[in-house]
Amino acid sequence: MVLDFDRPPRVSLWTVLRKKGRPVSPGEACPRVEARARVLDLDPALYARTCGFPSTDPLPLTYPAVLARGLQLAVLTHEALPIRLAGVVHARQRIEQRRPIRAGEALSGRVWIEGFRPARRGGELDMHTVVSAGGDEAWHGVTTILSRDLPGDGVKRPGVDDIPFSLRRSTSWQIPGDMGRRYARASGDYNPIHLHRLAARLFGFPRAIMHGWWTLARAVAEADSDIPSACVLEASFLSPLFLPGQVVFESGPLQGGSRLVVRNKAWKKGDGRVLVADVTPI
Amino acid sequence: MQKPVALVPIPLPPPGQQLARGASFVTAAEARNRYHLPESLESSSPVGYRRRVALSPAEAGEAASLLALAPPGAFVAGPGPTEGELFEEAALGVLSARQSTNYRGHRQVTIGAADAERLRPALEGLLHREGPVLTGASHLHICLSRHYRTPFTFLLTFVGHAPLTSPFTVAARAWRKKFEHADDIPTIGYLQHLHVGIWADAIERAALLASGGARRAQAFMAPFSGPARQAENASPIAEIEALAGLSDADRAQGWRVALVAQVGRVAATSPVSPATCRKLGANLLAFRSERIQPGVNQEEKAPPPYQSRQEMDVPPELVEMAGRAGYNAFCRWAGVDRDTAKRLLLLDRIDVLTPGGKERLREVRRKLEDVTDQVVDGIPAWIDWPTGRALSKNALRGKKAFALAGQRIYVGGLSRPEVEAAGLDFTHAVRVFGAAASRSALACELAGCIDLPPQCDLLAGICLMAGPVNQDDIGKQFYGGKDLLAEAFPGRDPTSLLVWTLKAKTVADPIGNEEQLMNARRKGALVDLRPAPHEVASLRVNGELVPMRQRDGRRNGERAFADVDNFVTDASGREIAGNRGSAWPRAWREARPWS
Repeated sequence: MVLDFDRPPRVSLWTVLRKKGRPVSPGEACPRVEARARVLDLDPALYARTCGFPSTDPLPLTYPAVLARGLQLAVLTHEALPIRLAGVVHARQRIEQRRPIRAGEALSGRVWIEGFRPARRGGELDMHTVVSAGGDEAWHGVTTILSRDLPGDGVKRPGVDDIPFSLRRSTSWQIPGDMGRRYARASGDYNPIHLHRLAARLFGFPRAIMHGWWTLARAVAEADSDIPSACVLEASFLSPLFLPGQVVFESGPLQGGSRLVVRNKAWKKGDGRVLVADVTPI
Repeated sequence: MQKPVALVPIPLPPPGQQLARGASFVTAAEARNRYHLPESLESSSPVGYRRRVALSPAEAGEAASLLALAPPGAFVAGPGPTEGELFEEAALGVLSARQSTNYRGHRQVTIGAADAERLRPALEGLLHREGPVLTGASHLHICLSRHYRTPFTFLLTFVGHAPLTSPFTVAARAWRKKFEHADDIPTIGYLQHLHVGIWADAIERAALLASGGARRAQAFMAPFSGPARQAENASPIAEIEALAGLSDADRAQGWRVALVAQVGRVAATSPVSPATCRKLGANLLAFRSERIQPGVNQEEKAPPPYQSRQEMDVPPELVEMAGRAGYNAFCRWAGVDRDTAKRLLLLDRIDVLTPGGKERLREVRRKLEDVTDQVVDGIPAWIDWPTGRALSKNALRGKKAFALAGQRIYVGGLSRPEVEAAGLDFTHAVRVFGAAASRSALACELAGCIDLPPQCDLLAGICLMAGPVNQDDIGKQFYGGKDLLAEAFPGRDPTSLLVWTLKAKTVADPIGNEEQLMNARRKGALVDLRPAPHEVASLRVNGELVPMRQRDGRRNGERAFADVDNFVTDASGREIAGNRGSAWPRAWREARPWS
């Protein structure tokens, strides 16, 4: 089914939180749900400042996802989709930017979800977001969401490799406790787990968690000119980044592209990797 | 006035002694100490932790020209500096010219060509300038400084009081320090001025190196040296202060204009090629105080490379060149001829290689230790005991900090009557002394990089200390002692100012030089006390002061001259997380703030 809008709809937090799931049997398919908007309105200044991008023209690589956020929520909260939104995890993100989007261009967007695949602890959905500029499909994002409402297969899959690479950048970030609220204002993502530790506790987290999208955007902003204007970015979110937090950002060349890694400094278990993203030029 | 300097290579020790620090990260089985590499670095400073970069003899020849740099005669037209160039200029100037890690006494305001032109008449009105005011500056640094205040000077507040009256005299002295900027001892007051001299000398090199040889600096320090000259130049200084945004509150805290440097493009070919400029910039950020002479004053717990003596010496030719570099700086900044410079600069060599040197060194050490004991005994019990004897324990640490080791050890100073008889202002002479000392030290540090083999950290290092002089001055002021130079220069009323220890060695001091920074709660992360650009440097753009490298919620994470890639690693190449830094966004770095 297709939902058509002039502009992305505003979806309230209440609508998101009260969205119900339903049991899904292993063989059952998820229906395709698609939403389209003829016009996407730009207001990237606050977003750029919050994420550390030096300029808004061309648009930051990660910003189109914010433009299409209303469409994404329209799809995710659609009753045909059998998952609750509370408790879903942003597991991976792929972005293919075929050309940079200039600030003055007329933009339209569409978002769709179709089907799912089993993972170890639940099922994974791919949410596609396409932003067109001047009629060209300039930006295509695939957001992989893990939902425990969907049946899993219990099979452990190989994690993201931790191959050594030579560093070009290595710097520490101190992330203040209010960063989640600041990013919420810039992006419109007011998920309570990002806003305050008390709200996060209601959902079983000891402290507020930083948005994965912010971590990715901040890493892309830090990598700055190392990111080509036409590229494919494949990111995995490996562990939560609790607020306030201290992380180390590292990047360097890897296999014809660049690898960006955000590592939690105070992590007691594992290697502390919060985010690993590989960027390759097109 | 300045003579050419040649950098003399330092012969390597025998192959078995060609060692490096070889520091590693702490393992689960070890207890962390300052010889381990820190796990991570949190810092917005452009410095980071660097290794020295080997210089070829040809590159050393280019570097030597920095030790006899004549001021520019004229500026020529050309594009203004990029933000990145200004950052690297600040990195070699205000952000690293201050040697004491915990002294926050420098600030810099940089103005563009239009403001610099507007300020030119005021500069021309300054008396005692070192040279002419040039037209066509691309930018201009207004450098501010204030009194030397650190945890050490806080401790000094409690030194030298009589037991019964101490509650009153401590309070009175604290009041005078806070509100009248009085110093406990004269040599603490001189530290501010020594640092200004070091800064002035650094700015000349910084302008050249940050621009790849295209720009040079014309610096004026003498018109701002001390209250008498400041009073003579009150009107132009008021104009400079207004442009620098110096407020009444700043003035109340002791901030004053310390020097002004015009920077502009020059027509002359640079004596240093752009590629060598990068290497030298990275090296200048790698140079740190070298206190440990392996096999002489190392700690018992120090790793094996520190434990045995190295058969190395500082060649006499290099010592001569270091002296020549120092006299060059003295002539440049004081405007005197070389004979006068040699007469005014008082230097006493006190190392073990000079006749009777061992006894002399022993005597100096004993004298300083006696002063330390007197200080510890004299700290008022009413403040020491309630604070867990924190003050006396800190004072005792001086014994370790003032250890004098090295193949060449000099005590340097000035005689106030002789300086004044030569027509020089004493405060200015102290500044000039700082410039001379730092340029002389730089000659040794640069020579220690010539043909540096990869298995060694350095071939020569230097520790330029005021600590022993301050300790001696405590003895002079409170316990009836004599100046360190009194015996060597009888009847000349000398004031010692700095101590140099020159060391030929291949093992660099550990990075965690200040062990107290290794806070267990930080899990091995080293917190950098060196200032970030936004803390001490600002640019005047469109009539407003903008902190350097603080923009849209971002602060600097870039290390200057990072392209030279001389970051400290362990033997396997593992880096200290956060040490390499990250470049400032290219769009911001390549912008020209005043175009």
